[in-house]
Amino acid sequence: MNNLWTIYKYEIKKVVSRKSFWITSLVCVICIVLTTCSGLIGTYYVDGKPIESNYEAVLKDQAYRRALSGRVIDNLLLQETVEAYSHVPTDVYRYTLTEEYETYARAYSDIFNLIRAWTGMNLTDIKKWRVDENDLYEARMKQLESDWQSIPLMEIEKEYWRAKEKEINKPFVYYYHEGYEIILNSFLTIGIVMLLFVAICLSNLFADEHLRRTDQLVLSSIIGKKQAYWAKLLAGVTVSVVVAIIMSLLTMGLCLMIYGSEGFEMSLQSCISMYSYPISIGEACLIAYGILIIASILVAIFVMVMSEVFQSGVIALALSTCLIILGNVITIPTQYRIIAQIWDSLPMAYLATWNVFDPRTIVLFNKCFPSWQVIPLIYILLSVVLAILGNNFYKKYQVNGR
Amino acid sequence: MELIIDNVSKQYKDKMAVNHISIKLQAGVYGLLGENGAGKTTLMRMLCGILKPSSGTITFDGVDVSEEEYRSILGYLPQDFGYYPEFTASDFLLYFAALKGIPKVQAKRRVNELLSLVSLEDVGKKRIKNFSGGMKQRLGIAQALLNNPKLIILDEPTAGLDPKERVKFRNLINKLGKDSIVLLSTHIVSDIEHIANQVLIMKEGKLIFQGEFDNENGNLEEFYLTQFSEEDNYE
Repeated sequence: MNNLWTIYKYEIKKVVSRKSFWITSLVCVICIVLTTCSGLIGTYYVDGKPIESNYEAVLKDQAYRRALSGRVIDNLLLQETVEAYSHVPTDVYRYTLTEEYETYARAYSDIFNLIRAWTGMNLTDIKKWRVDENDLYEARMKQLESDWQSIPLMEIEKEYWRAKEKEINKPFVYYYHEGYEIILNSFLTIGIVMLLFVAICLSNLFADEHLRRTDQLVLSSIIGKKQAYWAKLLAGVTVSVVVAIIMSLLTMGLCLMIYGSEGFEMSLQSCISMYSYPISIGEACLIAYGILIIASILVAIFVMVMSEVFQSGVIALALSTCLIILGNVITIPTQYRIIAQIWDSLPMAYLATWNVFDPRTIVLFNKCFPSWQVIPLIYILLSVVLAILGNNFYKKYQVNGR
Repeated sequence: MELIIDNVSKQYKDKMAVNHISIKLQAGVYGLLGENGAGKTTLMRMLCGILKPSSGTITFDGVDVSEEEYRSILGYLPQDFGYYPEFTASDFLLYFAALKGIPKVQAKRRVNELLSLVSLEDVGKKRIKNFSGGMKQRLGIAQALLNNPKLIILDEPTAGLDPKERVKFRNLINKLGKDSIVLLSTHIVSDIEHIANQVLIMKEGKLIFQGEFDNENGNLEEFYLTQFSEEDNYE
């Protein structure tokens, strides 16, 4: 057992002593910083003229949102919003550029966007709207039913979501939540960055033993055919998980530091309006990034097993990269329910908020479970199966030819 | 102590790389000679358990080559010795000591002993990528001896060693051959003459000669060349 630990430490050393590990890490950090801070960089131009810098815009909107934080989305707030927007002209090319929008409406833009998302109304409709919070929540429910129909969800799933919808406290309370919203919006990019990192840094781990011909020494040593495989696999998984945790903490830390840490308790529906599970936006961030960390285990094992099966880091890297690209390029229509759901559940597609918080559930024993409750378990199970399959390849390897 | 190779063959599609070899080896140094492609490396790989024979069995004191226990008495230096360029010599040996099941404290002591034995003690903390070919080869020899093996398989161990190092290596092998079975292959016939108690000659996968060879039997190099004279006739 002690030796397994020693081998494990040396396997980690093999990964982190490569230049490619540090270069890829640096590129990842740059990607994370750019993703989280991109909203602060640059200037907003209209017809070639600078309107305001993005940094100024963020500060202004933050102040407006903080002013609304803690208010219930009830008749009073809705009325204020409609009144504020009643000043905004509708016969202009872009109403957000008008003086009236800046003076009256901009402060309520988050509430306005919420009304628009839930009811499907445009500015003209909202200006004419006779404010009623019940109408708003009913409209949201109608929109949900319509969405569920078009996916299409099974009746058992619709019942599940209706029951979950009842568990959500209404009316919602608006909180300033920008930090958490940007954490969720960054999830897809951070997910892709993590997948690529794992593919680049681990694709050589097993293949290099064959390429460098150290496989002969390893396999002819007493624990080289059994424990060495698991030590190597564990080392790869450790690197992958630690990097995924660092990436997640860096993203969260930067977002909360720059945009503020308030709003953890705001209901997720204010951000992802058409999702009915009663959780807060802060909890949703933890779930999403928790899945990212678990996905890193599966991806790491997949890459390492491919590296052993093909005895080539290039093939393992090419295969993993192709899958990552395909996962983000190919969309299977939701009408092909089973295939589409399986495809969207694969790590290269699943690491997106719309897939994690997707109304399509996983039905087990006549019970519905949101995908984020089941997919991580499936990932762990698949990781174990892949690791065992990889071990069979490893044990059967014969040092031939050369 | 006895290594029994019983009717071992290795077939690749239409080529018989090793053809029904049977031999019993006891403590001593055995020199394996043969032209390129004679099957020496294939035989050695099978003796190390990293290549499965198509038929036949290999046992050491009754323990089959496929068992973990067999690998505990094995020391192997392959012909194409691989290393981790970013590792130091010391780390490299400690890593393989762990793979050979040697406890950590014991491993550190053994690594220092072996670095000294192969004259690498001054560069133990230097990365292998900066080593010369001879230094790498000496490191390979050191790793083969980590677990005080009873069966030592050395494929072309003198490649890259300078004449001084070669003499030192011969003395080391002589010493090891007293308590272990040492099987070494080389193209350098004089190495075999100086080191080996017994000579094995392979040709086209078959063992064509096995026995002691000393000056009374004549010149080993001449004998070896006569075995391959037909193919080597360039006239």
